[in-house]
Amino acid sequence: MQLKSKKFSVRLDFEAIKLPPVTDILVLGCRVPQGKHGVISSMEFLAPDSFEMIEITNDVSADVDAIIVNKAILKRMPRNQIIDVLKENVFPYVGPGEAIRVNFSINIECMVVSG
Amino acid sequence: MELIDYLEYRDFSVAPFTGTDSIIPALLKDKYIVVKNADRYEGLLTIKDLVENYHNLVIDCLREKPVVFQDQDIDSVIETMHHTGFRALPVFSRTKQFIGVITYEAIISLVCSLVHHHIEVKNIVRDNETENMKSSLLAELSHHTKNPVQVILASVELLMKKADNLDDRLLLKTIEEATRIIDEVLTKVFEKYFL
Repeated sequence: MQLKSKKFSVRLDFEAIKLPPVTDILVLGCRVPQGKHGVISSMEFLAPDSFEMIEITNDVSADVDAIIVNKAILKRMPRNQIIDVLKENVFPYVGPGEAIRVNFSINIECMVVSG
Repeated sequence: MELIDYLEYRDFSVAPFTGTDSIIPALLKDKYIVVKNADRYEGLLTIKDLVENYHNLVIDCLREKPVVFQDQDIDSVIETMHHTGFRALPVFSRTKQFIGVITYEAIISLVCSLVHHHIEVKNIVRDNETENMKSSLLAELSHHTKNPVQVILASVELLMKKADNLDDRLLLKTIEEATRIIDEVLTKVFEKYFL
């Protein structure tokens, strides 16, 4: 038997990416295979001391297991308010097994009232 | 025969960040696996955890389980197992150190041995004189102990009405509960031998 020669056809493109792939908030659905501990550990390797995991209880959302939040965001806004915003605008759209990246920019406006 | 006599302790344990797929054969064989980080107990992984909460890493599959203490009574352990559906539970010492695992199969063995033991005791036949002596001793004991117990319970009830701080109330509640246990034991002895 005679071997025929093989030809390979390759198509490629490339782009620069930022690591970690999440900069603000990552919402983890309840059956994400990697698990909340697995994800936060990998984030710790990519960006040490930058993210914090907040577990989400069933009374807040049955479909969301945890959120991973950039500590810079936590410094600007109380965690309860962050959860309230996500609960209303993001959690209803998270399916089991999904991980959702959320871009969460905060503008702070202060009004100084002089007496 | 106590719960501690039926504990299982295996040297085999896995680290929390072990991949789940690699421990499935051991889990199917042993029904549970102890998860330890260095020497610190992290949790007990059961087949139920894996079925209901599968993730890639062992630590993400773990779920909180009820705590069983070494001196806990068997009834409450069986009730906990039925209530939660876990057939293996971690057991801790009073100092909250993990000391082993109690399984449903071990509980069945324990119950069977207790039943067997009970049958053996019942089968001991003594002569009439010994039986009469035993009965009169128990009658005296229950009669002379039951009255003081009732006095303690009545006094506790009176003191409870006067106690105006939480510490005193808690102390009185403890005395009341302990005395009621003694009262129940005496009632059982009385019912067994004289009714």
